Amino acid sequence: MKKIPLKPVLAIMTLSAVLGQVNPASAHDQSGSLGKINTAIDQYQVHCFDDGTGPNGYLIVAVKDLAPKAAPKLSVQVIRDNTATNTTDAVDSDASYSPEVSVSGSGDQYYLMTVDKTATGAENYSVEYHCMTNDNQHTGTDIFQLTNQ
Amino acid sequence: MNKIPLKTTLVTALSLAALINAGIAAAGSLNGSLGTGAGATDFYRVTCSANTNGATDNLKVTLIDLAPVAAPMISVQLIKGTLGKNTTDAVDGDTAYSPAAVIKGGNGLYDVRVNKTAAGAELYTLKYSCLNSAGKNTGTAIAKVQNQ
Repeated sequence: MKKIPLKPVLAIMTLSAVLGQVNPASAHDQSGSLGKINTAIDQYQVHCFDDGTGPNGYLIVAVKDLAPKAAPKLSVQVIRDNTATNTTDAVDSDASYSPEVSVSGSGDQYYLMTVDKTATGAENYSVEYHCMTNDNQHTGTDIFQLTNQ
Repeated sequence: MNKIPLKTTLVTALSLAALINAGIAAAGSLNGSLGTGAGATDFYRVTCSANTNGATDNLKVTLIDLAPVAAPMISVQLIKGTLGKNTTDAVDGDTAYSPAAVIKGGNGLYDVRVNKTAAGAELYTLKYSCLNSAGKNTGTAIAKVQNQ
């Protein structure tokens, strides 16, 4: 049997792992998972900025509770300074996102997003997030994960 | 049938609402309400500081979803920098609090946010305690920064 050298295999595996962790800024769809413990929370920082389309006006966010179907309900909170809002996906594993929430902000604004669940049990999710100008055009959007539980 | 004057009813209702929103309760505990909107969130900042029991090791938070019994479940998130925990009261209207959420963030400012899973008004009691590493109370102060 022909042997494949170990070094190229490891290099491909590492590259695949790195690519798997990178979330292209254009996707604006962050997949994640919450561990089994009931207190698990994921936290992200979203940066909204002018990418040439125009300054940020507001951030819109929604969450989708992905398969496997489990008891906990998934929620996402959006926070800017002293302002916070929440939205919950009522049905696990269907094609619908939670109701969309929006939080206004300055032209160059950092927001926090937290994702959590109501009970014990591992969950997978997808969060959709878009920075928008005041005339409803999509503008510069970056994300960075702060907490992964 | 005796009629209750509308003004008296409104004053009583407003007084009750004011008491609920003022968070009048024993130290380390407050009552709050969330409005009907699905996104309604109450936002608090808790400051933990050193006292005669020494420096703070952690902030412990728990809440109870009060009657009337309604569909939404109430959760509280506890955040300090990259530290975060969530806890949810699974049963509305009973006497049991949610499991505790604990963050070992030491002295300083913690964000505490209360929200619910669906539309519908809700009432809750939030308990919060800054504790040293032996579980004794340290300095605890709370401020409400958003009331929805």
